[in-house]
Amino acid sequence: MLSTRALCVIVPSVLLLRGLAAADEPIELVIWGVWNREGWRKCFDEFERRHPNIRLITSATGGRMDEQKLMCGIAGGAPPDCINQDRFSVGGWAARGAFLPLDKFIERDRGRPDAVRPEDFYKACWQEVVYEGRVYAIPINTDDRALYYNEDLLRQAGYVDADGNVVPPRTWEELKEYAVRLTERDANGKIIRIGFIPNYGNSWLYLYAWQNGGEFMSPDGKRCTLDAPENVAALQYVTDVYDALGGAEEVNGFAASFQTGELDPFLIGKVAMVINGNWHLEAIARYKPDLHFGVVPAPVPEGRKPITWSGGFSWAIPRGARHVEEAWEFIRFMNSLEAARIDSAAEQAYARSWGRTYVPWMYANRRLNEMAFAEFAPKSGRLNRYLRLFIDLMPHSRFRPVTPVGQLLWDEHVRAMDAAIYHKQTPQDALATGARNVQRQLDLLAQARSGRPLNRRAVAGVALLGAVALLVYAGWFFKRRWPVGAMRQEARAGIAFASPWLTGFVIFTGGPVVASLVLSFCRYDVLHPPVFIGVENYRTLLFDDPLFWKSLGNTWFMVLGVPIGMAIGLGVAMLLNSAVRGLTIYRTIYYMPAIVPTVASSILWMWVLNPQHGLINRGLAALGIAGPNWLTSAEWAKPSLILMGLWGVGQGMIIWLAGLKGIPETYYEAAAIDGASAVRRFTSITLPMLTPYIFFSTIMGIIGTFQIFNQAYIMTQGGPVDSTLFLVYYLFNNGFRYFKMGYASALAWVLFWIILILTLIQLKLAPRWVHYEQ
Amino acid sequence: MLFAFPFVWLVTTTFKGDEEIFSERLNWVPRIPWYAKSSPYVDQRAYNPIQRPHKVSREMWERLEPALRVALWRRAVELAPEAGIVLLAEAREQVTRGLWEQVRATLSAEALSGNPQQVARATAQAIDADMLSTVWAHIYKRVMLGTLRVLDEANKNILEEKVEWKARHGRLAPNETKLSGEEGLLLTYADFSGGEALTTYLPDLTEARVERLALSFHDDESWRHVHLLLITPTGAYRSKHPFIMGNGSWQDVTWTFRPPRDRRSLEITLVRAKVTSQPTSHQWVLIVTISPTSPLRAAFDKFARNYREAIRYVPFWTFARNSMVLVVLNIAGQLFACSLVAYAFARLSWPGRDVIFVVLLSTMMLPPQVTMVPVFLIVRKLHWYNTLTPLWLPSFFGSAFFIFLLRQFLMTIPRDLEDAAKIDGCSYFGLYWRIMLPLIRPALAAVAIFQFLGSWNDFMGPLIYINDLRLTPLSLGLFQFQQEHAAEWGMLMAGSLLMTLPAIAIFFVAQKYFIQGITLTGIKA
Repeated sequence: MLSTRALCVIVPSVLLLRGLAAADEPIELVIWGVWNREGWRKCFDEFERRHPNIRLITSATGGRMDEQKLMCGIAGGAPPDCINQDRFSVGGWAARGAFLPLDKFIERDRGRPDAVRPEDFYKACWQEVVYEGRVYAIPINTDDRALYYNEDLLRQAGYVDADGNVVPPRTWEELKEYAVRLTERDANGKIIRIGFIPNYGNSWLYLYAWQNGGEFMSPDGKRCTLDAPENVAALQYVTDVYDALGGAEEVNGFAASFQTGELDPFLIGKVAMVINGNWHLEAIARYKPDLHFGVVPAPVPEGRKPITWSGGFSWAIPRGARHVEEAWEFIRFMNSLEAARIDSAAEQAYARSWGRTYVPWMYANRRLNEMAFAEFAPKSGRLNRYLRLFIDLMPHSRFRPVTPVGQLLWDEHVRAMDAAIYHKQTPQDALATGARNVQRQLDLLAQARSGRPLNRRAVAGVALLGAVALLVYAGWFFKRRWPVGAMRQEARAGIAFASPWLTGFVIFTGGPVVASLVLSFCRYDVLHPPVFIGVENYRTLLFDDPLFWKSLGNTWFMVLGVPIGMAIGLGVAMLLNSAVRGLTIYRTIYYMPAIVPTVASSILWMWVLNPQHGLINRGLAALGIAGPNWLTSAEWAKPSLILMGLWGVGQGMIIWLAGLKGIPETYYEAAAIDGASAVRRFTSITLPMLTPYIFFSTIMGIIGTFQIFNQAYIMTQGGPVDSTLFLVYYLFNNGFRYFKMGYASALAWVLFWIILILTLIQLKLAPRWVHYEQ
Repeated sequence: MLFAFPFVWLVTTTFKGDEEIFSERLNWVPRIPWYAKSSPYVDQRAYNPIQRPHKVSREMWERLEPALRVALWRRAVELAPEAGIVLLAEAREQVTRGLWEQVRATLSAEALSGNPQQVARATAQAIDADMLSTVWAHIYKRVMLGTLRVLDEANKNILEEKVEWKARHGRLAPNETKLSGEEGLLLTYADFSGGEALTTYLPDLTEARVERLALSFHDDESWRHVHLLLITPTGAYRSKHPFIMGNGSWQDVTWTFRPPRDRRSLEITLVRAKVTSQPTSHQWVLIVTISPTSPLRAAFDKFARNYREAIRYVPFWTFARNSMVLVVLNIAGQLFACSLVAYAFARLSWPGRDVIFVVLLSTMMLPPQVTMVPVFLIVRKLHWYNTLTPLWLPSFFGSAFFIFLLRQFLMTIPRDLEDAAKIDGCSYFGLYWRIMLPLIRPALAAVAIFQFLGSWNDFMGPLIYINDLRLTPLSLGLFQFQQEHAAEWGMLMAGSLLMTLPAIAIFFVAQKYFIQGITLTGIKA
């Protein structure tokens, strides 16, 4: 035993040594969500040059689609030091307590020449990173939206004033009229050019609703006002425009052929007018610099002022970051005028090296933006003029509400818009449905903040009591059963030998099983202490969660693959069993797919199932059949996965082969003498003799199917439209994406019971059909 | 054989270039590159043979095709001056095919019926100079040199004047063909023994902190290697690896003095070289060498391209190393723990053994998802998150399935041997170590193989516990790579195949044990 005094000496010296070692080694500042941007690369170099003690470790991880990585990092205590996040999602992260508030740094830096000053930023950008009065991220760039129009097409249609200048539409009514008039159809009435599509480009309902004076959330953020009368009127207008053009179906059918890049429909004159962001200028500069186009603020309802809306990205520091000071240093540098200059210069040089005109992006910081415009934007011409217009529109910009339900609000608004323009619902009903869904989530969140945290001491006490009881029982058990004499030694050895598993069982299975059961009655997000909520998780899951039922249905559908796989596996095994020569080679070929790692086989099948260039659709096309879109279509995604699963039946085949080998040849000989046909021999001998194997394969197959995850995660991410959201995937999402650990535990237990019950049913039914040889 | 198809498709795709991958036809056999002794040359395989469109009847086509061929070629000759092209007679077939491909899609059924001569003429008239340029650019393979840019740290061009190139063997001349927007010198060369060298002299740039040299370069898809030798007053540098001419298009070949910051960069690093000839003072000498190739070498380079790129982009070796570490530790852990525990269950009698064995069997029924969340919380508490530990340590506690497998195997071994040893005074550990372990080797082999596949394939574990690229194993790494390069199928397939190969190799070596393991327990891996 070490004395306390020795500890007093050792601990500080160890700390000191570590401190000294740390001074020599550079600090590794981990930064996520970094784009492949030439300008940034130069900025990072400059930052490292100025801070020789810091090394930047940058990666693209944790971007917008990769929430799970960031959440796991934060919850696991090893998050990046700094991350580039879509501003739109900052509110949600802040609500979960995942980001550090940055106010104290901003306050501390006040007065420094390179300080991050809130007043420098466009209001729409800054307010988007403020949640409940605190700043959670520093905006990087921004964008806004306006109406692009093709001058030549408008001139052709006669929209010119007395001086011969093209007159773009100014009001909603004019926009609608222009849209219809500029639309052209061929002899068969098919659209060959369209004047304007309300939701093509980048406007969404948000733009129209704000133009009309609508709001999406009440000022206190507690109520969702998606169905406010102004919003309904805006959606009505959008629907009207679609109808005037021949209906959403026809319009979107035409839009389905749109391509991007140099074949962008606006660039090639297939679309006369489009509401799009400032980034579209860059595409024009790149692919069609000689296009005759104009930009004006998007038309508004009669009598209202022009308005636009903005989004963009921002730097945030996750909670638990190891190098907070350095991360702030980094953010401050990236927000400096010098960094912006390095960034723009490199980007400009890069664009020029490809022979393109450089159109700078818009910085969220007004000072940087004006610098970039003055020094790096084209000096004259349309690109100059319209970039200026976009910049000048910024003060009139709106932004999506900062709320933890931002994503849901977005999804619901998209859904409502679709429902209305396709006339599945009236605009009023569609928006009301959306508002209801959002409101329910909001209420749930409000509730979530209340509640009594699980009493840690009580839990620990109960756990301790349980453990003591178990120990006492074990002691009593062993005392009673403990052998005497020579057997004693063997018993001791036995327990010692089994101890690795026994220990592992307690740590990795037994303990977690109990913990999981407890958690399933709690609300727990890892960052805050768990809250006991009784059977609430189970109640929500069973009665209030359509996604759970959807995932269950999806999983159940996949069970179809089990009998098909067994039939194919058996068929192949029987073929192999009769053809004696080359058995090993065939067996290897059939078995190979089962060896291929899931990631590799998933990627391979994504390629095989590629709608345009994949093996299957090419093969079908050769036969004159147009293949489906497989993984990207909601109907075919699950069958695609089953198909892929069938490729791996070789695994089961080996078991079938063993089973077939076990059937005595004499049975067949006897049957042959009796004149039984091949079919008869199969149904009367082979099948009955194989029933134990069939039984076993069914049970294992169903258990395996209920745990399907990797393929879905890699190939479809649960989509399209949740069609491959399986039970375990849903569980994973809840646990490691939304960090609803309690809910995930409840799901796991439901999964357990489903598997158990299915297995028990099969065991119960087994004696009726499974034939065991005596 | 149906089963082998996707696999063969996987393998052949790894050898294909983008053009083959995205071509309209289903092609199984990857193309062997065209070997041209001299350049420029006409690629006689650039376009597929002309085929009868579905909308044209067979009889009509028989008369239409010859007429079309004549009309298309005539139109090409007519348009050549306007497109700035000097047509070569040997390119006739290819030009005809290419032009047909250009107009084919736009033709309606009506446009293809009527008098064949008229149809052919009308079709040919639809062709304009742009189309001809496109076709010509595709079939006329050539090496062209564009501008050389010398860039400093801030990416600024510090060499404003145009440089003069000298060719050692071939001819370097302004291009007679004026394809739209193309500017540069055309290099005419043939395969020489020493390769083709181009030289240029630059002023001394030492003061200006040169960071990279970017040469806009059109390659001739001959799969020859391009090396750079740079002699400066302070020393000589050579390119660390060659640029391989395999694209048949314009690109910026960039050589840099500093290793690129991230692996996605396509820059070629310059390293110090020893040269015998002393440089002329105060001048930079740039020598670009095109080394000769052989058909075999060209084919190899073409087939290896996807693999090379996959290895470079993926950090394949880093990922593979992490995977190997996990595999080795996991196997070691399982072999040790499972055999020990299985021995206790199979051979030793101790109180509670049978009850605990039932518990062990029942844990196999428990879906791992039930314990996933609490185990994550434990790992987090122990600060094992973002380390490899949670991915291998549990193996040292054994797993129910392998314990079961080994116990079944142990039960089949007669007790006599053990009894003899026991009489000789051997300890229980001695019995296990000296007698049992050697006897259950085949079963241990099965365990090792299953565990190999298990760890090599494990995806969800790293997905949850690892967030650092330097610790990522192959399974997760390949997935992330796929996320970033979704459309680069050749490279993705190469990466997938590389990941699969070790598994297949192990399977071939140890097939016997593998199948034994499956049949012994009847459980799928």
